[in-house]
Amino acid sequence: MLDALKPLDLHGAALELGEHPFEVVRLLVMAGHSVEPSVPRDRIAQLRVFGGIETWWGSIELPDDDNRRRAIVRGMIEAMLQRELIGDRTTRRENLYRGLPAEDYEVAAYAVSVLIQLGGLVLTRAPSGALVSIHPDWADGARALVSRGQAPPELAGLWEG
Amino acid sequence: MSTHEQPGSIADALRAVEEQRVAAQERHSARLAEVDEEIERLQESIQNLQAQIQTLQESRAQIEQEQDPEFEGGAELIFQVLREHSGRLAERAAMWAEAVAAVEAQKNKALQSPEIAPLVAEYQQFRDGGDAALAQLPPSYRKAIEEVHNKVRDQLRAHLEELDVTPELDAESIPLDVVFSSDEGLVMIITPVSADVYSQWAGRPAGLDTRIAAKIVEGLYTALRGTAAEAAEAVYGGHEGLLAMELEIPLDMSGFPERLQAAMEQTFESAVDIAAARVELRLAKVPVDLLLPADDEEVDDA
Repeated sequence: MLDALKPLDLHGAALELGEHPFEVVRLLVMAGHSVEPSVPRDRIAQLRVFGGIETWWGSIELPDDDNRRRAIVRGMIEAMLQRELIGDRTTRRENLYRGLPAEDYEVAAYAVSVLIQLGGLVLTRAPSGALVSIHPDWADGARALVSRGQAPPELAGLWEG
Repeated sequence: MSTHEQPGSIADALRAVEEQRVAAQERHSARLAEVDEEIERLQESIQNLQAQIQTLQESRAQIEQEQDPEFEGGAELIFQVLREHSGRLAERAAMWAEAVAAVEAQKNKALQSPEIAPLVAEYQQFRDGGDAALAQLPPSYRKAIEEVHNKVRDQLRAHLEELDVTPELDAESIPLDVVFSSDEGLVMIITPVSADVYSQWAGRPAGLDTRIAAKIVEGLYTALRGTAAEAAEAVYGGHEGLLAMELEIPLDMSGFPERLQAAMEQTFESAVDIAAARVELRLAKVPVDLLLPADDEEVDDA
C-alpha cells in the first residue's frame, strides 16, 4: 500500500527499469551517483533517461508469420526501422528485447548477436550502455527481412529452434 | 743404425727388407688398433652421456609439467580462503536479514501510531477510490483535494524516511577478502559472494550479499569512470560458485590496478550499512595464475 512512497532496493530498481541489478549499479556510477542501499524513485526516472531505457514490446505488433521466432525478429527489426535507427541513430541494445517473455527474449537476443557478427547491426559502447543501430548497407536487407521474412542464412537455424 | 746383420747378398737384403716391412706393418696395425679402441671407448662414453642427457631432458620436461599443479595448489589455497569467507558472509547475511526485518516490524508498528495512522488512512482512502471520485468534481475542488493529498503523501514520505534506520549489529567484525588480478589487459575479480547473487537475483531478496556485490561493482566502475575504458562492460559469472567478474581494458592503460584499489577502498569505506553489519571488506591483488581454474575453464556466464 505504501510501497509507492518507499525508495526501492536494488532489485526493486532493477525490476522497475527492466535491467539487471549490476547494470543499475553501473548506470548509477556512470551518471555520477553513489550506490546506496535504496534508490530514490526520482533517481529511477533519471537513470531511465541517462541509459536511454525504453520498453518497446507491448506496443509492437507482430507480423503475420507462421514461425513465431521469425515473427519476433521481424517485429524487432521493424521497430528499429520505424524509429529510423540506421547509422548514427542508435538505441540501447536491451531496448530491442526488454519486455519480451523469457523464451522470446532469448530468440531476440541471439538474433541481435548474430546480426552484429554479420555486420547488419552495429554495436557501439558508451557509458550509458551498449548501443545498436542498423548498418546503412544492410538497411535494404532489414526491410526485406521485415516485409518478406527474407533473412541472412545464418539465422535459418534460429527459426527451427 | 740398423741392428740387423749386414746381408751377404742381394737376396738376403731383400729378405731383410721384407721382414722389416712386415714388422713395420704389424706395428702400424697395432697402433691403429690401439687408436680405434680408444675411439670406440670414447664413443661409448659419449653414448652414455647422451643417454644421461636424454634422461635429464625427460626429467626436466616432467618437472615443467609439474609446475601447473603447484600453481593449482596456490589457487586452491586462495579459493579455500574465499569459500571460507563466503560461508562467513552467508551467516552474517542471515543475521543482517533478521535485523532488517526487526527494523521493518518497528516501522510497521510506528505507522499505526496515533501520529501517523490517520495519515496512512487518509492516503489509503484517496488511493482506493480517489481518482474516480476526483474526476466527478469541479476542477477547483479537485485541485484543493489533490493539494491535501499531496501534503499527506509528503508527510508520510518524511515519516517513512525517518523510520528507515540502518540496523546496527552487535556482533564480531568479520573481514571478507575480495581478490583481483590484472594481466595483459584482463582484470579478474573474485568475490566471496555467491554467484547466485548475479544469476538468480530475481528469485532472491536484495540482502547483505547483494549489497556487497553492488559495492564491488560500484568500485569497479568508479575506477573506470573518466578513463579511456569507461564504456567497457564487465562480464559476470560463477567461478567455483563464487561471483567472478572479468573486464578487458586497453593494453596501454597504465596504472589501472592502483586506480581500482583506491576506488574499491573508497567505495568500501563509504558503505555505512556494511560497516553496521560488522563486515570489513578488503581488496587484495594476486597473481593471475592464482585465480585461474584448475582445468583452465573460463569464467562461466552464470
